[in-house]
Amino acid sequence: MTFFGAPVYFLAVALFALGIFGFLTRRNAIVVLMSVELMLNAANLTFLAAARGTAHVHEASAYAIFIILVAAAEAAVGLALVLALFRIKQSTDLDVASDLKG
Amino acid sequence: MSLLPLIPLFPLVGAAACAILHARTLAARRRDAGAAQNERVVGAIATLAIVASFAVSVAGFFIIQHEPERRVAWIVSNWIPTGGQTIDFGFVLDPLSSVMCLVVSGVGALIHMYATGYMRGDKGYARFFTYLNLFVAAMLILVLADSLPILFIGWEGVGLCSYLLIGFWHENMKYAEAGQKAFVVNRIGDFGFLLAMFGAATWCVDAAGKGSFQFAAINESVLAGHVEPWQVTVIGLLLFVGACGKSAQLPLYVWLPDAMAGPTPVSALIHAATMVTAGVYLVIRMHPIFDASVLASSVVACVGAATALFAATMGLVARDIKKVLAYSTISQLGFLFLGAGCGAYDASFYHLVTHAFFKALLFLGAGAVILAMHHEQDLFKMGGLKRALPLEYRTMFVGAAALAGIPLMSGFFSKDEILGGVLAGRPVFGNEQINLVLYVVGAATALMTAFYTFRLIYLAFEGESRSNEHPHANPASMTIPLAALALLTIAAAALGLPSVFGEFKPLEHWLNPVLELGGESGNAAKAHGLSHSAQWLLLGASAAIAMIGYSLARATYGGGLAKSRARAEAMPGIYKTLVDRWYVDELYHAVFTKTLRLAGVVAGLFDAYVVDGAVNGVAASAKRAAAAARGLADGKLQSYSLWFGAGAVALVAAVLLLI
Repeated sequence: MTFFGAPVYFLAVALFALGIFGFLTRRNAIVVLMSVELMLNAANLTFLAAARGTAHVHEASAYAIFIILVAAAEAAVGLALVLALFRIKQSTDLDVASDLKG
Repeated sequence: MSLLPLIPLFPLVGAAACAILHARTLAARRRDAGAAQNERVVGAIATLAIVASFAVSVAGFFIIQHEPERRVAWIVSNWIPTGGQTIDFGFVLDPLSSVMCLVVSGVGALIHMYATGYMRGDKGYARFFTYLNLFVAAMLILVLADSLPILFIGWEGVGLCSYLLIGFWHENMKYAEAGQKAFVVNRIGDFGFLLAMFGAATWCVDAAGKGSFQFAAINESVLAGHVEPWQVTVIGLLLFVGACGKSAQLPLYVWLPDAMAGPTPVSALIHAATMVTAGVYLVIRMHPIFDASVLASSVVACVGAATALFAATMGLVARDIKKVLAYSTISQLGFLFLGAGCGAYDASFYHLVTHAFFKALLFLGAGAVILAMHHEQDLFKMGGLKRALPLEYRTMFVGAAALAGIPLMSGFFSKDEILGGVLAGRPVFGNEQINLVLYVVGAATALMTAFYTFRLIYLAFEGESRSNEHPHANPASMTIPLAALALLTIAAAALGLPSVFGEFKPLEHWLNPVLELGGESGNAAKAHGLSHSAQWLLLGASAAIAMIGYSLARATYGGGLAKSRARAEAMPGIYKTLVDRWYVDELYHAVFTKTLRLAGVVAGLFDAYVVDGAVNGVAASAKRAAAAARGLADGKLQSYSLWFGAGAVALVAAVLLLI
């Protein structure tokens, strides 16, 4: 089975591209975080699809759960940062968070 | 002998003491603008320093009489160790340097004493004596040096002091420029001197192939024939370039007339009696080189003769009393080189000594006249000073008679010895006819010398006063040196009477160990010899020339200015050319000064646009690159991520594609 043979990979690539597009173009910090989640899930999907029908399917499942965990932790820290940003700037717009620019 | 370094040390210490006193005067003036300076102490320290140096010189003179080869040396080894050669710091007292020391410190002491009176009331009194003492120290180092680098220390030292003293009254821009001119023109000569020094140290090797900077070693090497003839000629010509600068010979004489901007004691000491004779001293010191090269010695003789004649023509019309003496100094220095070039070193040195006496006397007399006339230097505005300044008149008359070559005066004998040496000396360019031409040139110069010398005397002292000033008497500190120098001028005749008066020639016998290096060839004039009848003939001719010059001056200027004015109007072309100094200064200005200034402007533009342009261009391009890079850091999270991602992709792509 070739890498691009299964339709599920197209879905994963589409998800990842959507994630990158959102990450690079959206100015709202919450939408940016959501885009990151999309990219993580695209990676997860690829992982599981590739492991299906091989001897490594259990290890792959364990990694997938691990990544979901990390994503949940990331979302918690990220939303906390967004809250902190909102307290200072009264906005979640990433372009206003440029105080360190020279 | 450990006494030797004391000779230059005394004036050096004197200079330091005067400098300290000057600093204290300046500090006192800062507190109180009208603070007086202690002139008496400064003058005493400066004069006594030179007197002490003279005393040591006299002691040295007697000590070396008992030494083998009449020579003592004092050497500090390994002064400058270099790769191939080691330069020692050494002084040597031999007959030549001993006489020079006596003249420099003796005449120097008299001039210092005179200057204590002359400079009275000048606000730079201590500064003046600092420079003057420093000059004597440098001059003594110059004459005592046993090698070229040590001589060069003195050579540059006297040049520096000359510059400082010409521009002593530097508030006057013209005086400051005169000092600068002397310095710059001397640099040209120094360039030749340095090249000659390195050439001599490289080429003049001993039997083992080792070179040296020492005079003795260089002379020995040349005498032993270890040096190629063309190399000897190159060294000789380059040495003479250095001598031309220091001794004001064609074409580098232009600084000396302007050097008269300095105070008159300076003109007497530096620009008449001592420093300007350094070039002649150098030629005599290294005479084996000139003996070995016909071309080099012939150039010396011809340039000397040409300078003597050329300078004398300008002396004929100069109105400034000091300028007349300056031109006559250039002219007499030309005589010295003429004699040295023909191998008559003893005659040349004899004239050097007598000239030091009578020219110092004339300058000091001129200074006394200038001071008495309230700083009037124009001869046409003097006249009739005989009654007001009788002692100055008598002593200056003695000096003038010696310069003009009036029979039985020292200048008469020494000049005659040189002219005799020219006739009997070694053939110039190998051609005896040229010697005859040079003799005629010398005789013509002697005629002009007699004329302008007595012109000076008549214009300044005889006739009616042409000035409204009332001359005041000069202090004893100024008149005593005049009288002493007048006596020396008369007595110096005994140093080298021509051989028709018997074989009484103390100076020549004294100098023999130095001048007869290499046997008879070292003293070509004597080797040829002149018969007694020929000598009598020459003496008669010299006497006649001097008397004709005197009579012409008397006829022209005896009755005031009317006749000379008429004569000047009769030949306006020649008169104007002479007054304008043959336009040599204008020529130099047009050819050298303007060219150099133009080169300076071009170099300035090159610097501003090419050198600075390159530097500024590099800086500007770095700035532009930085401005472009600054655009990347726009403070937007997403653009950072984009570049970060692009970089990661590029790295992965590179790894995938290359491995």
